[in-house]
Amino acid sequence: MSLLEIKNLHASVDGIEILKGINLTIEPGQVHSIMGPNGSGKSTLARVISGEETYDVTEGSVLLGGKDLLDMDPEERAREGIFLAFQYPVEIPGVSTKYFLRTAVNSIRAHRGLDELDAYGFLKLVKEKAAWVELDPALLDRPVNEGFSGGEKKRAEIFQMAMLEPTMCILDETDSGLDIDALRIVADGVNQQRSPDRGFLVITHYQRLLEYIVPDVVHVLLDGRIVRSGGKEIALELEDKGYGWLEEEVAAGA
Amino acid sequence: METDPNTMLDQWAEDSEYKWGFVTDIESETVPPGLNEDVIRLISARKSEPEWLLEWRLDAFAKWQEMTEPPWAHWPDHDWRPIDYQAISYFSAPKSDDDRPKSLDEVDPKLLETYEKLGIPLEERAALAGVAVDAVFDSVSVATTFRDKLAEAGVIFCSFSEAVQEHPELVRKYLGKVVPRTDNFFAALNAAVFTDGSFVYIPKGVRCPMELSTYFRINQMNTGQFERTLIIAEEGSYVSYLEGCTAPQRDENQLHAAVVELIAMEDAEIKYSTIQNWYPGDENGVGGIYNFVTKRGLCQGDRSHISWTQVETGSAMTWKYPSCVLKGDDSVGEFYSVALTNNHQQADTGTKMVHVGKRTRSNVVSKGISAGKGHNTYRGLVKILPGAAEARNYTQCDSMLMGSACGAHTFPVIEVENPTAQVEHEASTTKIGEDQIFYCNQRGISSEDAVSMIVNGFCREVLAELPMEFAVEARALLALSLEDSVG
Amino acid sequence: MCIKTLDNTCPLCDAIDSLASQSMGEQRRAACERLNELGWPTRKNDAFRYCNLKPLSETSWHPAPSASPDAATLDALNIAGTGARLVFVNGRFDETASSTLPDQARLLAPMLNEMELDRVADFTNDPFAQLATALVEDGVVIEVPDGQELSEPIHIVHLSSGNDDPIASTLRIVIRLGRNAKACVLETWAGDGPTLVTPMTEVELGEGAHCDHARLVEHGDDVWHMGAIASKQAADSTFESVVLTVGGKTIRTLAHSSLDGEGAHAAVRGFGIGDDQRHMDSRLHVAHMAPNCTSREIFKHLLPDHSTAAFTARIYVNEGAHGTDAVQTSRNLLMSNTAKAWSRPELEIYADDVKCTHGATTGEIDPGGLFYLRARGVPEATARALLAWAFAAEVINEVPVADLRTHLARRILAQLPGAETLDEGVVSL
Repeated sequence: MSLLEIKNLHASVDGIEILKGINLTIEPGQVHSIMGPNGSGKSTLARVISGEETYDVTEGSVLLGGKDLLDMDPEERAREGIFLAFQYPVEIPGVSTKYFLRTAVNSIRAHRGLDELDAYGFLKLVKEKAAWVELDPALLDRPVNEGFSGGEKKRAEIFQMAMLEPTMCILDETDSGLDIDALRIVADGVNQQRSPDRGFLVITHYQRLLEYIVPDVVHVLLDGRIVRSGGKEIALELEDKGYGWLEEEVAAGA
Repeated sequence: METDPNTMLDQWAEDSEYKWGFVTDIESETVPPGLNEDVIRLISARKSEPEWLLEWRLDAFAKWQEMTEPPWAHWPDHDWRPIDYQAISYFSAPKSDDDRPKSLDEVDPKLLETYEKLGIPLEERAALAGVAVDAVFDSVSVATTFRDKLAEAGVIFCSFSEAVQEHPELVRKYLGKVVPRTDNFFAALNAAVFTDGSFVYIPKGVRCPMELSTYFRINQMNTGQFERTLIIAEEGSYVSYLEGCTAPQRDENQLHAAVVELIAMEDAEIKYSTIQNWYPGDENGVGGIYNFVTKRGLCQGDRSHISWTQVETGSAMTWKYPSCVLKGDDSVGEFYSVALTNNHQQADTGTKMVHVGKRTRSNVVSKGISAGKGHNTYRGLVKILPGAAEARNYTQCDSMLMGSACGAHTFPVIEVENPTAQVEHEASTTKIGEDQIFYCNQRGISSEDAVSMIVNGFCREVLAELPMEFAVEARALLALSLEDSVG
Repeated sequence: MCIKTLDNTCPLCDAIDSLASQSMGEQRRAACERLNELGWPTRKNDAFRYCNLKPLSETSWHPAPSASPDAATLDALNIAGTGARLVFVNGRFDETASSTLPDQARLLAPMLNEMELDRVADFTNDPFAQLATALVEDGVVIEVPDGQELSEPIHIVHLSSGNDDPIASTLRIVIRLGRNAKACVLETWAGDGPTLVTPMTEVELGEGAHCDHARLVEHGDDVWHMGAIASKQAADSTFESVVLTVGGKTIRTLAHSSLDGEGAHAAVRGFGIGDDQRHMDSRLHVAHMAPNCTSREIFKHLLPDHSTAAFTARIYVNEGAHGTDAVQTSRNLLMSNTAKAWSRPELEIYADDVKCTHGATTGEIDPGGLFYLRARGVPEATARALLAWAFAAEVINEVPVADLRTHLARRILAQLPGAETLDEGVVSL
């Protein structure tokens, strides 16, 4: 069975259609990348998969391991294995990251029929995973994302991903605002989490990230549709020529 | 100290009905409703009070009769029912009063049962947490533990009536010194008719060996509660006092008009923590307690320190302004408050910090949460008198609104009469962001848990001031009080 | 009916009576009656808790006589760039000292019976607003039609000038801007001698209109300046108002601002420097009645000698006024042991999606800043004056016309302790 199966997905916000029929299948163990210019619908796709209510899904289906995601609340989707690394992680004043994560980890474990992690087990896990992304453990005593630098926020997202052990990871422009060292650390964190039963959807504007997280398939999203899919070479071509030629080609084809 | 957050999570699952709304069936001896000099004489006689105290009461009563009930702010959505002072019964004592129990074994088992229901079995709690409990059941103290241990340290912790009998000189010296008997309408009423309360005396240089705790409960229908608490901390002493309230479910509004007086001498410190969870009325605003309390502390000595911490989740209406008069040089006053109003509840609370001495400092942190049709008001005064050179005040006043039918109001008064003083007031209003909830959802956390978590985070600075077991109870209460308020 | 005075006669009431026989009869009488009902306020009245009006209430006020402007005073107020100047003395227009009336401006006097006054805010409980209605003889009505703009600012100068009797006068300024209309209106209040003035400015802004407004108070030490500003705004309009006090005995500013249309913006600012016994009392009420409005209130006072300042402000957020963004700030710098400051920044909120903050600080000059400057070699007196000036500059910089800013800066520097150690360059700071 495919891990993620998106069929003819249409979504709109305030009556304006943003996704105009997305078809996308990700098999376990695969890394897919979605590229596209600003406003093409990349982030919308990520948010629709994870269930943000701002978007109205007007048509189509999204299945995770054969289960219909669109009927689920966002937290159910998360418990089923969807993880979204946010482009702009929100700050939650007063709530310590550690406490927040422990609540999340145990909600998901309960869903999977696992025992709650006790304080010791949790801290052990935290220590192990924080090392992966070279996250300063002191950050975890701070309120969620509050006062984190841009790079720290992104690393904290990847760290949370490691903690929650999702089956389908979506990275929404995780590379934006990162310098090259931070980018490498984040990418290493992701690569360590690649496994035969886990899928990745890496949304990015630039080819740069894909040098570190090598995708199996690259899709190009233009105006709410996937206009081209193929190997890594597409990304290089886009890097060279920009999106303009593709837009023209699509327009010509239409 | 941080509490284990999981304990809080466990309690979130509780049902939404008023958890502690039960009535204990103990026979009570109640004076018929009504208020006149005879009733006051009767109260005084029952308690075998000295003549001066009766005079003190009668004088307060005479003044009270000339005073008018404050026409205080009540916001829309509350059906204000006038208080009929003649319909209140001013004295009610469990029948076993004559034969006061000397230990827990002698306590009426029904009463202990009540504590069981509250989830605070007296003996266990006392033994486990090292907390001495002077339990006020309705108006008369019926059980006191750990007396000996406290006595060893020279600490006096007893019911107010007992103090009147056994330490009349102390009571006479300090009663009404911080809150004059005619301070305000409700303080005067309390002075006239108070039935009991707690008395604490910490001698010079003594650090009270345990946290002192009293559980108040309103139990008799139509019985006003008029406690009076007096805490005196002598030079260099320290005490932490916990006051917690739960009340049984009633349909009629009941009045609670307590008076608390604190006095801290040189280098003494008093920490006073409250959880107030009187019955708030039902979701339509029927019933609930009117909680009109006068609390004030006097930092008499140099370098003395008084700290008020409160978590107010109950009562239909709360008017309460725990205050500090910072008289001693370098003395410190603090006020940390969380007030949560849901349904038709209204809380009007805040503090007064009066800076008299040099280099006096005060810190005010107020967190108001309004949900449903609840209204939350911060009303505060910071006054720097001309002699208070280099005084400092910092006030932070944050409101959180949940839903569009509630209200949050902030009315601070800042009066500065010394140029070397520095006074800062900040306030903000927030709501819980949909993006915050979604972020939590995306990490597998339900919306309700997310709201509780965010609210607890919002109150963090205040909850951190509470002793540990109180903080656990406070978190649970906040979550419980907010159930079903998330749209 | 009579405003109570010591000798139980009331020249003011007589004057109101005689005015009522000429114009606005009913309205004047009603205002006078209300004024007598209210009486002169005492400190028991919460609105005047910090304001000692005893001397005012013990004065027998006379109607202000006709007079000519004092040339020297006028000269001092001749500020370049402030546009058409309309001069009033004791509430009456002085044509010779004034520029030609701009197209969009008319005098109120001939229209007293037709103009609807007091329709912007409810000042029923304010005795001075009542007096302003009862005594009004003239004023300026500025009406800018849809889409038009005043080509230059209008500068209204009011001088009080009397003999020995304490005199009372008022002036009414009515500003009505149509859709997307624009105007800049400046007021200066000056004059010496025992005087009570009750300035009243009413502003109504149509959709998308923009009004800059400044009121400059330059009175002598005997003047009671008990003014009010009322504004009412339709959607997407902007009102920028600033009250600047460099003179007077007691300066009270009552400002009511109602944001009635979505997306409206109001800024009410104030700066005052104290002197001797001067008391400055600001009482602001900003009502957010519609969604997505913004408001900014900032009042700052520099307080030397025995001067005092009180700031009472309320932000009211109506049910449904979501997206409200309101900020309220009160800052006081106490420069002597006898200066006092009171702040009451209040929020009353009935909507959940709002951003309201208020802040109040009172203290002396920041010792850290002082040390920093001294460590860089600046003498202490200069450093103090510089920091005090910087404190003022934040509000001064919001004054609409550059030359007015300079004029004001000079006025403030003339009163600022230690300012003689600063060089002229500080004015353009």
